[in-house]
Amino acid sequence: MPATTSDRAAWLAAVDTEDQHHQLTTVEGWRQFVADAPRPPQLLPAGQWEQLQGAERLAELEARLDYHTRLGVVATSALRQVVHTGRRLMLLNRHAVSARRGLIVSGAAGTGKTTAITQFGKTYELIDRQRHPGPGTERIPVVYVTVPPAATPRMLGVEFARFLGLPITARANVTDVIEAVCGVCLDTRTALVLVDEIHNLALSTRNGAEVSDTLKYFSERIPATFVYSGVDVDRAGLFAGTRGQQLAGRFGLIPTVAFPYHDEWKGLVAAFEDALRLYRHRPGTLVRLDRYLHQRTGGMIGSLSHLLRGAAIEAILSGSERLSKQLLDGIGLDHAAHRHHTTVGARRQPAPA
Amino acid sequence: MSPRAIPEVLRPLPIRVRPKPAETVASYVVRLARANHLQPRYLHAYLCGPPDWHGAADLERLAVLCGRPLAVLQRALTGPTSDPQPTPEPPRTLTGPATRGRPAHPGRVVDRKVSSKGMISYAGGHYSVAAALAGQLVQVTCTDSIVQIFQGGQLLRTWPRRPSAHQAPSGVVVDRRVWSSGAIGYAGASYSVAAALAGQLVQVTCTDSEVEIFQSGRLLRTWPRRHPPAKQASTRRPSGAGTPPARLSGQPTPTAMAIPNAQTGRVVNRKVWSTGVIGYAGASYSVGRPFAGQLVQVTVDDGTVQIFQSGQLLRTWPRRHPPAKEASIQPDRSNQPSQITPDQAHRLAPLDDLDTDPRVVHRLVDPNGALSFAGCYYLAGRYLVGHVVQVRCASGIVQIIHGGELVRAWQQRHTPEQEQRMLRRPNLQQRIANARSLNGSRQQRPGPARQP
Repeated sequence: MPATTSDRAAWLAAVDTEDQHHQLTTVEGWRQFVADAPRPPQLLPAGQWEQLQGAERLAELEARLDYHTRLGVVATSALRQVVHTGRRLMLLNRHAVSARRGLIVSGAAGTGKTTAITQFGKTYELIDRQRHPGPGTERIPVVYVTVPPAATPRMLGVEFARFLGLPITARANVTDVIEAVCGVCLDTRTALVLVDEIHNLALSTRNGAEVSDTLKYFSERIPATFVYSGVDVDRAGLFAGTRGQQLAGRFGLIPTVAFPYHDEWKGLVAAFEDALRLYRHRPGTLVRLDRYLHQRTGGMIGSLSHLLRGAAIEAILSGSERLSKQLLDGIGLDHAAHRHHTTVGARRQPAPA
Repeated sequence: MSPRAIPEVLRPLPIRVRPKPAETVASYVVRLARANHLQPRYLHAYLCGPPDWHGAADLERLAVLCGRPLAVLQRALTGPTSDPQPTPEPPRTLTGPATRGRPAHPGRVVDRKVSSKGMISYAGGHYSVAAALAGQLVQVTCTDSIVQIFQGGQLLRTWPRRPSAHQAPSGVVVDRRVWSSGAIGYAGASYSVAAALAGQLVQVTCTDSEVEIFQSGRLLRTWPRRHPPAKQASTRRPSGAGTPPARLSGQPTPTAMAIPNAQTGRVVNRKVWSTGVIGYAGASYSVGRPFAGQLVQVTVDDGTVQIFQSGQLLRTWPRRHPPAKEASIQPDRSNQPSQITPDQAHRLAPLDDLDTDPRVVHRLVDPNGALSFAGCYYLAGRYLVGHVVQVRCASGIVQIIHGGELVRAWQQRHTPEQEQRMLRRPNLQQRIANARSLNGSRQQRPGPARQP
């Protein structure tokens, strides 16, 4: 069983590195994310699986549990649009010396904004690695930062510095931080800057306006395409006022919305079902439950992924090794999806006579 | 939880720089900082680490930041500190086993193992070596005043000898200045004296159970002992017993003959700044914070700057200043080298003809204690501020006379032309003003007549 052995080794390696808590907001964590390509574990023949005992069974179980905690990324239409538009913008910005165009991904929570921009970053970094093979530790083509709450320009600069690995102590002022960040980004050929949680930026406050100016300054100093992502930024006033108009004039908006109950939703559910690695799961079960899943999750891909992964892990732990409506009912979801489910359910209930 | 208690996570810098062969740590840190668009001083402080953020760069931190194994760095870079510390005299004979805990015998070399924090224990005191040498054996020897730490014949560190816990008996009297709060610090604890004595010196002694505070022989306070016995060993400046740290006066050092270039006069005295650094020919050279405030002797020999104290070599640095700068070095800034002892001045230019000598002029000592004579300033002394003194230049010596007595004598710093110009055009106003001292004139000057 070579596949099982390698899966087990991969799982043990994953457990060993679990303590490191790599985050996307550090260059090491980002590189690990880019290099991470989880391979689905191969299912053993039924008889062989049932005969596994002790450590072997535990290892096989853990490898599949680890796989189902991630379950891969499904290419939604929004994700494809972000990647395609982003690639086009990067080519357009290649020779721009100023006023580079950018992209804002906006939508409700759980609609896959962060997944879309990180997958775009991952795609670009892989392309960059293909163009520049070799050790390449000195190239940081993609920078991913999140806007901290109640951010000041220095805090934003420190976020950039933290991603790059620049040591920042309390004595460094905002000029030192920005100079170091811009210099390192230039030297490491940064071409894509992903700024997440942009809704933390309130242009109506002084700090928010200063952080917006700092981002603008970064975009002037660093020859990179900037992609922002945040919850309903068009409604949050990011495009209001002078600064907002400047932002609106340069940044294209890609809204991410909940999926309607349509063919794409069915395709999503089918893709998730294909990715499952359960011994007794009957293919087509989830596709038949697609309307139920849409009602449960409100069309949110984040909620759908959470529901299916949770149910798969529950099925592995309980030993049932199959997904059913009863099992899915037992998995708790986020409040937004729960509220949507309750509303839709009440609407479908006939009014009492 | 204090911020220092939070473990610090070091991460590699984004841009890595390969160390050059036989490069110094300081040079490598500068190149690393510039490659990462950081200020070298900032990166150096970061490499030194908490809590002080200064001193020698920690190689372990440097290894993490530059993304290279510690062993590679130690092999590539020339020393654990900023520069190698060769010594002209390697340790004499090495005794094999460590003699831990025994009192130190000056001149004897013993082995010590560096602790994980880069410290060694020697003769009851603790001395820092380098964290990078943790677990390695070093050789330690001492004189009456300093402790020298070697490894492989190379001088790593020199520290003033710290009093041993075994050698510091209770009853040692030390001076303490009373804080504005009316308390003093002693052996890590504070003891109240009196707010009225703020700023004054008191004497403190300690028995096994009590701390007694005196002033001018009068017992002021007695407190139960609050500090641990181990802390008492680190009390500074024992004034009653033991020898105070060697502070050199303006006289030539008795062991200066052991210093190279002593005969050629290229040895200059420097006072160590509070940062443990001295300035020499426009560059700064580290001596060590424990030597702050003390006088050291500096000489340059064959491209290396050697720093001595009492004839003992403390540090050796590669020359960092341009050789042309050496020409402009003042031989001695700390001790007014051009001052001449009164005996010598009397011998060279007697004061017998003072009353009849036309070269004698009067000068008013300015608020800094100096006076202007022939375009140059000469120090008379702060106690003479506001007084009129007689000044004469004879035989190349500027004599400052007050009340018929020679108070100071300086080598002539002005040119003969300046002196002639002064004598040709004496400052009448100054002469009149100087005819009476300020104090005297205030007393003698009659007040304005009051109208009835």
